[in-house]
Amino acid sequence: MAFLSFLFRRLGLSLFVFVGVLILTFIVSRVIPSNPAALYAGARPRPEQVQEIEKKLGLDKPLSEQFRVYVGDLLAGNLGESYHSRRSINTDLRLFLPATLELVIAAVLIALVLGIPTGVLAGAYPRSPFDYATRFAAVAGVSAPSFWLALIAQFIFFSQLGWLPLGGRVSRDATLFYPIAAQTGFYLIDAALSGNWKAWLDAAHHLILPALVLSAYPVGITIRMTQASMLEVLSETYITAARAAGLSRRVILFKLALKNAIMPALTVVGLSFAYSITGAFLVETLFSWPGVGKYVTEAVLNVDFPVIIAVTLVVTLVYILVNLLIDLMQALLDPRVRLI
Amino acid sequence: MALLTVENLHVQFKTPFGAVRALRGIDFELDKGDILGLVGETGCGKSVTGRSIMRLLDENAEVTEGRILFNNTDLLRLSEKEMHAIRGDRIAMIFQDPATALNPLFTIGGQIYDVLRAHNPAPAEQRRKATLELLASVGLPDPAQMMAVYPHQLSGGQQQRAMIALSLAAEPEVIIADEPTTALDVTIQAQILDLLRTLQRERAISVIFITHDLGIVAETCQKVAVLYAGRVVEQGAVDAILADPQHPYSRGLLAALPRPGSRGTDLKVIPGNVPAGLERIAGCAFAPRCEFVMDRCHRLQPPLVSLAAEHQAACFLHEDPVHG
Amino acid sequence: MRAFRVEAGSSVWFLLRDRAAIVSLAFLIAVALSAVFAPYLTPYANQGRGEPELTAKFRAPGIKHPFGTDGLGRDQVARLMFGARRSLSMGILVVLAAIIIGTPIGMVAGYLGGWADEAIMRVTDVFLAFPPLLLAIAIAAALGASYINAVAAIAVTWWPWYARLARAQTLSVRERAYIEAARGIGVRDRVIIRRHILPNIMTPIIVQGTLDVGTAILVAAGLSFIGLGTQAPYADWGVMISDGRLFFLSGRWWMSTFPGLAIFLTAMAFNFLGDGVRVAADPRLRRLL
Repeated sequence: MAFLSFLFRRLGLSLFVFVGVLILTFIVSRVIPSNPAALYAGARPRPEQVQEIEKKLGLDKPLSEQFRVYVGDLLAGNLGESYHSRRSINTDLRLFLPATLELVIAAVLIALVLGIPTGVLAGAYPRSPFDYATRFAAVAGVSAPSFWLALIAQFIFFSQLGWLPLGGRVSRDATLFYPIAAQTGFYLIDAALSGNWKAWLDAAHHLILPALVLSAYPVGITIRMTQASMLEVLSETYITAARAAGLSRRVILFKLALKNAIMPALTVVGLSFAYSITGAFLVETLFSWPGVGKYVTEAVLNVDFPVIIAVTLVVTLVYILVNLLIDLMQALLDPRVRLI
Repeated sequence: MALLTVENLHVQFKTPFGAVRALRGIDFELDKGDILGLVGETGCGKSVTGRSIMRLLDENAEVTEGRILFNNTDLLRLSEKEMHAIRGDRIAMIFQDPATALNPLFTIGGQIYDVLRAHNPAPAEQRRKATLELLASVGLPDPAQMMAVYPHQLSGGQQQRAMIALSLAAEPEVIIADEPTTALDVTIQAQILDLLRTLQRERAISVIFITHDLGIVAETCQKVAVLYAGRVVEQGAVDAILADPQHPYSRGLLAALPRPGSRGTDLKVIPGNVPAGLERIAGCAFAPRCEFVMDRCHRLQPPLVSLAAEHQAACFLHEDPVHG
Repeated sequence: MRAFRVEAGSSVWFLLRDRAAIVSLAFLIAVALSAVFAPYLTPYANQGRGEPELTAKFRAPGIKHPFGTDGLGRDQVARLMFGARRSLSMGILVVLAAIIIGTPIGMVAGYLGGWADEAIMRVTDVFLAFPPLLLAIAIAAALGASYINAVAAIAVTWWPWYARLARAQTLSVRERAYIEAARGIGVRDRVIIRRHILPNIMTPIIVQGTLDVGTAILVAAGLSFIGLGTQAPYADWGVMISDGRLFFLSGRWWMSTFPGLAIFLTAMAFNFLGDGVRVAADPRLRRLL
């Protein structure tokens, strides 16, 4: 019962936040710019173009009316049209969003797989050389600009070692000779579904470098948070009690403490997701990764404002959903919320 | 024959402000089958003493002197591995607040089961049965259901019962109970004390009972050691000491105890505070608060001297025939 | 009073013992000095401000140009020093602005409680629902690409963190006896907030601010990298990386490498310094670490 009431409260909050996000993006797109029509018309518009846009967006009408139309369009699933390409943003996003999500999910997985065990061990052996090395690495991870790291990584793994491709989601050979049948837009999933293992390997090969670069910041955060929560847990009375009861160090660290430490560490998943997305916006261009990040950075260069606002909305919606899922998972794992 | 002897135990804590001397030469003996009360105010070192015996002091603590003899083995000289074999198995511990001493994310049954598994290699089914028996023996209702219950679903008293079951799991010879009833309601306190006394008698366990409450000592213990600022100032049989305390501090403690019929205003409070532990104390630590203080109390540390068969006190009042 | 001085003294003592924090502080002072005195420290001050020198394009690092020159022949050491002015000031301005906006809002929420608190916290929820940078990109694009607009855009996305921090701190000091006493004798809320609460919550806010400057520099460099920050002919470190990236893999590695290192080391220094200050200011953490 406690869980159900938690679920409804949490859903309500997400809904509220989403409405807030709608309002805020509306303010950003219609109230902040001194001349929204000029923004929507793109770079160096002619006066008659601006007037046309003004009419089309209803910018001559009162703000409340504009907001009604804005929300109505969005609820109808219509994100508008790119000024630059004249293509529907819906179509573009259907193509680009899965590419970014695939990359971001890979980065989050790397962050968890590397970060959680490292953080647990560092927390378990405070003041050890491993602890110091780990803390240094964590700070380095959150301090390196992702777009610079991307260049360095390309230099090492492509130019010098030749182990990994420079960019793109698949090689030209794959697109020509064993193309992936698009279903979900996640290449690894699509290739696996159609049993196209050659293409799967090719896609995975292309995924490694950008995902590693994106994971640097989340790895740092994950290590820090896991280590901190491990330290916190190990100073709890129930750990002293477990030692007094004669439980072995191994059981205490990896069974008892880990379960207690992993709860707060779960929030790290949400943060990792957020920072990987941020990273994706900066490095997708460098890796020629055809995702929303590249889409937006190109939109910035072309002053393609409708695209920027639409991507902001959609990616934020995804992020809200991810956070919702994490909270629900956390609640399900915690007996204090689950039962009663 | 004493089962556990603590001799001249000194412990200090390193802090940014310097070393804090928590124990300054603790001496006491625990006989087999006895309940020994360690009594004193907050900060007198009673909990540190308990943790020292378990060798579970915080990292910044250091035993600088002394011995802890358990069956004639000095626990302080054991390797961590040898000590590990003693914890839970031969000496177990009960904590003040069961709500924080039980792991919130594991079931009661699971936590007891883990302790059993750590100490005996019996098959799983047998361990399950043993867990059920333990839960029943501490008076928890419906042991089968208790197995699957999480700590937060129990009342404070039930939690402490579960904690006691956990400490009994490996059938230890000694239990160190660190203020086991302080966090509980008065009525529940009485039940838990009752349970501890019963279990102690039935299983012939020896108990070190750490408390600040002389009333509980009177009800529960056979022997008592009164601690002040990291030293034992008086010890012996509970009856003798409660009837006729010889150290001015014990007298003060006893006078501060509410008795039936006494009113709030009758209670006496010992003026002054416990010393902080940062400074070196040359003489008797209680001297600054003592109403019978003499010149030498500030210079010399009074030794524990026997006043009767089972009664020792550390006070110059009892060495000097003029004041005796 | 005496106890307080012992506390503060030991915090400074603790910070000084933290070698990483001290090295970081020294590094940051050096970077700040080279930014402030850049015109006097380099013979290429004009190039630092963006003037091209077309006779010296793409020089590799050497004695004359330790970090080489860029595609317009500008000395990269001078560019870095002048870039430091922009990158450092962006980071610091973002955090300052976020603190100035967020702290009063958080204090009001924590002090008043109830309906106002709920409303303010839900507004911060909305701001924090955006992945970092994303909202800043949208706002910067709406305002138009420029140095100061980038600062404003990031600050607008950052203040909710300080509002939350200030609120939590206010809640913890609100019930203290002297504040209750001040309320009891009829001191006005505004005065209580400014005179009694603000001084007591500044420490954690300053600690968080120190930690955040590094991240703010990173985010600002990100905006500049995609073209929404500092505009030509000026450059900050993010712009310099962006300018050099097309040449990076074709052998002219120096243009992006050094500004990247500058961001990396500066952000690390702020992190170590912030960590040091945090541990020194919190006795509980000292025990844990």
